[in-house]
Amino acid sequence: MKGLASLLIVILTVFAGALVHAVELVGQPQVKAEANAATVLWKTDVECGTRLSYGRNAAQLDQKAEGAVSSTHEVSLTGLVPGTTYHYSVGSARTKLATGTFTTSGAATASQPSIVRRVLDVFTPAPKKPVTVAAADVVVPPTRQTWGNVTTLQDHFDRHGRDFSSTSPDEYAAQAWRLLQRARAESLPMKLDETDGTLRVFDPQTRAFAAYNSAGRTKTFFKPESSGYWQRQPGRLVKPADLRYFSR
Amino acid sequence: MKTSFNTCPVCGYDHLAEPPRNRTGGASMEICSCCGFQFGVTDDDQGVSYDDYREQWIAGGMSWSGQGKKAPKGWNPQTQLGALARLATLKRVKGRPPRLSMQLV
Repeated sequence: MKGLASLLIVILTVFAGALVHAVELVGQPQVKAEANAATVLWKTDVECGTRLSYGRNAAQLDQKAEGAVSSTHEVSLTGLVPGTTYHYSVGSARTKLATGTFTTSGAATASQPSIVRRVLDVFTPAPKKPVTVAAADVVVPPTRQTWGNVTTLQDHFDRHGRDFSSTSPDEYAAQAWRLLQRARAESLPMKLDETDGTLRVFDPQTRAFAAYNSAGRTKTFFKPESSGYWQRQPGRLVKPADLRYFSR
Repeated sequence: MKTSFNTCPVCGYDHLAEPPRNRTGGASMEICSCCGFQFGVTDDDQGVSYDDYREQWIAGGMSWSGQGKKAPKGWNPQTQLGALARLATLKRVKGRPPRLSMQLV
């Protein structure tokens, strides 16, 4: 009976020791910071919860990220501001194991304007934005969305790219796409061939000519050499409002 | 003999993406990957006829033109041109060609 009691005491002692064993950090946390994201990794000697608190102010780590119970912890943070220093602490819900800082890459954003400046801005009318947007500012869709038969794009670029000083097939395709947008905005001459839905566009000033398929994707883009080329093109003259497709 | 509408009238390549001309004569603007003829540009803008271009292409060695598309496996320009010539001949013959009767002596 005495032996059994001793055994129970030993077992209880071992379990109690395990229960009160403090989680310890193995090594130091590793941080991989990018412009808008960061990944923090750390290891503990036993499995425990994963929690990372972070913020721009060391005294106010007001944002949290959590993970699974493990001895190898990894937390990914997104939506960070480039060029900014963040303070963090790692651990679990119960314990804080370590603290540190990391700085995201990239240029820092402009500092906050002063309160006076912000008040003045409220009462100062903002300058009116220009109605037309410069062609260079328009975001061009990927080439596969603007060029009809991508396998022949290289051939068209090799043959006609120099007409527009294009430096690459993608730039050439983008220039063709811009002509269509400009034709719609500025009502450049357009002919619609209803037999197959081909739209032909001509800019008399630059002599740029392009043909687009029924989905609005470019078939070709070049500057004709012969006079009267545009006049000889088939199709009826149309206005932008007549085009049901060719939406951006 | 099956005729493809997507056959190049210059070199006989029969895998064009679309017919060189639509029903009303509008050019496809496609560049033939085989001989490099661009329908609506080489002819309508530069004034080069199919026959003249074909002669130039043959004189130049009948090389594959397309950069973005490789020549089909086993591609043979002579065979292709032969098939084109045969098609052209058949188009000229209206109706069933006359049967040659042989008299045995």
